[in-house]
Amino acid sequence: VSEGTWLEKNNYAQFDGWELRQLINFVAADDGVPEPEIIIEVLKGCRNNNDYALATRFLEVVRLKGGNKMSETWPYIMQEIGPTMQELGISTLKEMGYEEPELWLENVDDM
Amino acid sequence: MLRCAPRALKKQPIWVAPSRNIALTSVNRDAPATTGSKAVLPGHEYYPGKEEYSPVIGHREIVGHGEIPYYTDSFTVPCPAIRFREVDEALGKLREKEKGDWKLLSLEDKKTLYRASFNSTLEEVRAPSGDWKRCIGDNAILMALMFLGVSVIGFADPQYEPKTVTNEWVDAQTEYLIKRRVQPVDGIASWYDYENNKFKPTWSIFTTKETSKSVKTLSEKE
Repeated sequence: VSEGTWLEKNNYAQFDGWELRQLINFVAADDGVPEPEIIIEVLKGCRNNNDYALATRFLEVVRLKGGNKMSETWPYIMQEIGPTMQELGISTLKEMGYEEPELWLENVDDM
Repeated sequence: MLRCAPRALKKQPIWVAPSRNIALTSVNRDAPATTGSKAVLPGHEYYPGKEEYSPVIGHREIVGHGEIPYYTDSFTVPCPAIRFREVDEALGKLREKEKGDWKLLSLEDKKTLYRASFNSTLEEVRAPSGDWKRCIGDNAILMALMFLGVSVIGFADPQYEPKTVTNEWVDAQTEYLIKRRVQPVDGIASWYDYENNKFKPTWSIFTTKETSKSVKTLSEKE
């Protein structure tokens, strides 16, 4: 974990659902992709809170934080967190089909 | 004046709870970590009204911070303060299954759980809407109507014809210009043969069937 950042190794696995969502919102606002150690702890926190949807949402955020270099960061992260995902039983975004849009929903601005 | 000042400085709340008994209840933060679903427990079945209800959000669960919880889909706020869908019996059963091993969940269960909490995925938020086609199409229709109107109405009604376009005006105009000998080098006077009082043959480039008749009469006059 890079030292000096606010996102350090911490007991994120014991966080409440409310605090986890705040953390994920801050990760989305931060300029950078989080480290795999932190991702693993957040996924364990989702497991302790019995919330599966939050885990997939967090993985989507991590994937899109790569931006134009998504093709380089995402395979590295999947390589690092693959074993824990298999342990917990979280399926990858490709198996869910969420790497591409699934449904067409009308944009609120066009109604 | 002085009596009004304190009332203006007093802080007004942004959202006032309704005066009836329906109000947002606070979450017990000391309780163990749960998703907040009270739908299905052994012996406690779900019925509409059991879940926390508010006229602002309905039977949806509050899951995050926020004085006025509302739902949004965006990449900057990926986890809003409330879930998207209301609680049902089927969803309550899924939540019980969710507390167990996640390897036993089928793909459909996982997708329903996701859609219960969120309306759209972040990829769907990024997807283009195709609104540019509607904009260009609407503009094309309006331009077509405009061209139709100008071509049909603008040329049909003699009221909209300018008088400077009629052959009478143009003939009088050319007669005046030739008499004044304007543009003798590159213009109209250079195309007129003053010795024979005729237009030179190159003038035929600027004539049509209608104007050629009037030009012949002009050249016959002088």
